[in-house]
Amino acid sequence: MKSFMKLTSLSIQGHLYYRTSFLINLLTPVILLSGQYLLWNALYAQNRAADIGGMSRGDMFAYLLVAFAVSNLVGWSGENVLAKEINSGRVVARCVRPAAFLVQTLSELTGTVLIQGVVNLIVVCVGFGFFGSYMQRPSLPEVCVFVPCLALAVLLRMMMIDVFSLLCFFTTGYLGITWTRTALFEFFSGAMIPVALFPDFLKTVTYYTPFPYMLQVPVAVLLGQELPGSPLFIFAVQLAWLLLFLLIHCAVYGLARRNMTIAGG
Amino acid sequence: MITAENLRKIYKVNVKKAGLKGAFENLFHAQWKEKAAVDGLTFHMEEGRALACIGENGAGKSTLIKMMIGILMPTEGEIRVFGQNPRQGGRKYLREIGVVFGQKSNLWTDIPVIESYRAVKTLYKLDEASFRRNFDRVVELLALEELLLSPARKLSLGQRMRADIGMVFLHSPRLLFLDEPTIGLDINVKHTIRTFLRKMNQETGTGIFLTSHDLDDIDEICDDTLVISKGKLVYDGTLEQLKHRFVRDKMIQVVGSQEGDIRRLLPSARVTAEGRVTKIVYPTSEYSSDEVISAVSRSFHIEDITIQEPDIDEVVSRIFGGEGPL
Repeated sequence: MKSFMKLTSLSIQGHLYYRTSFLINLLTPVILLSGQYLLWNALYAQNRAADIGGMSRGDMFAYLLVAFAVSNLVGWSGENVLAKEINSGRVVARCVRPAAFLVQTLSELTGTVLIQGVVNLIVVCVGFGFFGSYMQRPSLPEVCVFVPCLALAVLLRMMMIDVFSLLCFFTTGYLGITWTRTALFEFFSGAMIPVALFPDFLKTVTYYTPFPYMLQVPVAVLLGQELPGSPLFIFAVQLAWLLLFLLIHCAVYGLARRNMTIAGG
Repeated sequence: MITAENLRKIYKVNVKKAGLKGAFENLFHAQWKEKAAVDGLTFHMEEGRALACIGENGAGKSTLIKMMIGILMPTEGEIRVFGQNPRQGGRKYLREIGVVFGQKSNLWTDIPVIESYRAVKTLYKLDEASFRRNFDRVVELLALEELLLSPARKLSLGQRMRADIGMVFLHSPRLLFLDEPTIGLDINVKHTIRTFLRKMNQETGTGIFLTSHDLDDIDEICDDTLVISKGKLVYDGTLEQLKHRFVRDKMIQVVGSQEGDIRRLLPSARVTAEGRVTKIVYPTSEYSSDEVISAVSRSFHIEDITIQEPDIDEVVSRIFGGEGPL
């Protein structure tokens, strides 16, 4: 645990060290959020009915805001650290440290999440300040389910990043792997379009993947929206996916260690 | 300490055809061939020794180190370090060794060097007293004081390598693996690092396994030598023996007036004179050093005499120039 805490602290320090880079990384996603807001605003303005796919304007803006905060917890720079290290051969330093490979990856990502989490909380609070008049305030039971659900969602997302990054041991095309992971996550997690708006068939397929449990489900829990099951069912599914990702991590990392070639001399 | 038995590492290499047509063919019919990076190496290294591994580019030196630290798995053969398989040693094994790759830093790049050092204290579970003792020592010997608050990304290559080498000694490793630690460094930094490594080897008994293209590294730091070429072992023995077995000629330089005919006493030697300085190059297969010195003392009024030691560069260039194996 001490190792995990120390490595998390190093990750936070690394992100904070370069001030301009830190601010750019923080603020760029806010521009994306503004774009999404303007897009949905235009769609609601053109729509004669009060809602789209059963979601009112207030529901949608609340969803966008919270979904942004959850989706943006692990930024682009944090997501690609391991993939880049494997690609360049610098991963050798990670391999010779006396700490489990997975612990190193998770602690690094935790550092990113903690910093970004504080900023996102501010963004959400400011957003609710602006749009709060037509947003429903979450109830205490919703918050109590949301917190563990979010923690499992973040851990699940970290495990997904780890597993996809490990695939870079087998190819030099790390950008292809990264974009594939990003595309799958953005679409199936509900980051781009709420899963509630998917056609029934696609919605069913989506709930068979781990992606909505990384974003859409915790957001829906907080906002009191449609869920694929009871809170206990949701926790069970999240834990099952975590276990599966852990097994995949062990299998892929074991295979990588047996067939590892490290770039460079 | 290290025992390797018939160690082999085979890589599968994708053979690409040249040209546009070849590029398309490669998409549908990938061809693979096997390449032995390390091919049947057997050697032994004693605890506390400093062993140099010499070889041309692509000889298999880095692959050998990566197998010894447990990153790569040998295709065949067995390697044991401290009596165990490095791949099965886990974190306990990693706490007993140190690794420095000249071309890849172990420091965290975006935080001050001192924070990387503090991370070592936590990861290696060091107590405050031993950490402080080692920290003070490396900071003093490698002149790291001014670097401690800079992030590794902002250090020059020489500063970064000093910081990397300092970091690897913080946990008092029993054995250190150095893969080309002085590559690209200026002469002053090389000297600092060589002196430091030699001192640590002699004073703390830390074993050193070193690869380098810079033969002065080997000359100044190591006692024993492995020479590998195309993955195969060419020589395993002391550096001195290597020099003497491969050096065909030696040179003596004499300053003084000539009083006898040295060419008559040493007919197979090449003698060149320039003013009061005479150079005598003699084949070691025909004359011993005693015979040559005796002949010189009979032929010269000696004011100064220098016996030139064989140059390791010359030795290696002969080995890889086709005069090996031994």
